[in-house]
Amino acid sequence: MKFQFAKSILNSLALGVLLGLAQTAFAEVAAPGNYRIDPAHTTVLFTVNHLGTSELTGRFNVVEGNFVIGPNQAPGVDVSIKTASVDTNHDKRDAHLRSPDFLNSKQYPVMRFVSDKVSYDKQGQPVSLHGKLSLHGETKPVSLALSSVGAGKDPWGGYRAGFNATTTLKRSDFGMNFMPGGIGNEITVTLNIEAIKE
Amino acid sequence: MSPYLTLIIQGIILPIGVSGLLLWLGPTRDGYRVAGNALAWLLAYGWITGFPAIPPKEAVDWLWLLLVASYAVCHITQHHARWLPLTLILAGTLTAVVWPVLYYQPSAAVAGELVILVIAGSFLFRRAEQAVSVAPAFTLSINAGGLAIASALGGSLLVGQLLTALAAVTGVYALAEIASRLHRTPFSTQQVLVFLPLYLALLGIARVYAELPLASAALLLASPVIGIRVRWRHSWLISLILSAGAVGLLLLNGDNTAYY
Repeated sequence: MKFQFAKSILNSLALGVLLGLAQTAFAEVAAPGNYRIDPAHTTVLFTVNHLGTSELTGRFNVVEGNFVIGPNQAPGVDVSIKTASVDTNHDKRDAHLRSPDFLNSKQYPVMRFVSDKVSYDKQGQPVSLHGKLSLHGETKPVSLALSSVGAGKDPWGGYRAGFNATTTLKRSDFGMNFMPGGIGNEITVTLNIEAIKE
Repeated sequence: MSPYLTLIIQGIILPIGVSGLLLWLGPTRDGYRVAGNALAWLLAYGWITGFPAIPPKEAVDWLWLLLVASYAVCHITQHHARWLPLTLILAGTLTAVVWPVLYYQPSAAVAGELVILVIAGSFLFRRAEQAVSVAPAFTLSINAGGLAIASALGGSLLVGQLLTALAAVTGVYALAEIASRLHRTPFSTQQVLVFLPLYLALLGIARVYAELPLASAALLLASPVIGIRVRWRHSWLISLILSAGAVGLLLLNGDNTAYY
C-alpha cells in the first residue's frame, strides 16, 4: 500500500517536471521559417448571434495550409478550409449551413485565406496578418489579430509553433444575406493554430 | 419584425396577395395574368434572395432568367409547338445550375439525374394541354408545397421559401378550381408551361444543393408526371399521395426535432 502511494507521488512529480520542461520549451519565440499547419491540433471556430438572444459557436473540421514567419522572411500565409466540414453539433443545422442559404458548399467547397503582409512586434513576434479571404465566391481584404502561444521542439524531434488568430467578418460582405433578422451579420472567427516547421 | 413573420410574408402573403388581386380584380386576358403571376413570383423571389446576382453566380440566380425565358417562349410561340424550346431552356438552365458541382466532382449519377429531369420536363411540356383538364393549379401547388416542405426539412429554407412562393401563386388559382369543384380552371396551358420549368429547376436545385434524398426527389418528380398523365379529374390525389410520401420518407429517415 505504502509502495503504491510512493509510486503515485513519484509519477505525479515526474509528470509535473515534464510539463514544466515542456512549458519552458514552448515559451520561446517561434523560429523563422516555413511551417505546415497540423490539422490534428488546429481548430477553426466561429461565433454568430442567433435571434439576438444568444451566441452560437461552431467549427470547421478540415483545415490545411502553410505559412512563413520571421521578420526577415518573405511573408506568406495560405490557409484553406473545407466549407462542408462545418460542425455545430447539430446535423440539420450543419446541412442548412452547407446549403445555398449560406455557405453553398457544393459550389464553393473551399474558403481560402492568403496573406502577403505580416506585422511584427519589437520582439519579432507576428501580431497581425493582412490578406484576402475568398469565401462564397467573394474575395475581400481581411485582417487577423495574431497572438503567439508558444514554440519549441516536440517529443518527436520536430519543431512546432502555435498561434491564435481572430477576426470579425460580415457575412453580407461575402454574399450570404439569407435570414438577416434571425442570424447575425457579424461572425467572429478564431483560429487556434499549431504548425510544424518544415 | 420577427424573422419568421418575414419568411411568411415573403413566401406566402406577398405572392398570394399579388396573384389574388390579379385573378379577381385584374384583366381577364390570359396573357396579362401569366405575366402578372410571373411578376408575383419574381417579387417574392427578389425579396427572398435579396436580389439575385447579375450575371448569375449561384444556382438560384438562374431562376429569374428561366422564368423570363419560359414566358418569352410561350408568348412568342402561342399556337405552335413550345415543348422543344422549353425543353432546351430547361436543359440549359439545369446544366448551368449543376455545372459548379460537376466541375469540382464529376459524377455520372448527377449528370444522369439531370437528363431524367430534362426528359420528364419534355414530357410534361408536350402534355401541358392535357394537364388543364386535371386541375393543374391545384396539382402544381400540391407539388410545390410538398417540395417546399421537403427542401426545408432536407436542408435549404431558401429553396423551400422559393417553392412556397410558387405554391402560393398557383394556390390562388387552386382555390378557384376547388370553388368550381374541379370542373373549371382559370389556370391556362400557358401558365402551366411558364411555371412547370420553374418547379423542375427548383427540384434539381433541392436535389443537388440542398441534400434532398433521391427517393424523395424521385417521388416529387413522379408526382406531376403521373398527375398529368392520368386522365382523371381527381388525379391531384395522386400528386398529394406522392408528395406526402416524399415528405414522410424524410421524416421517417431523419431527425424530427425542430431546428429552424
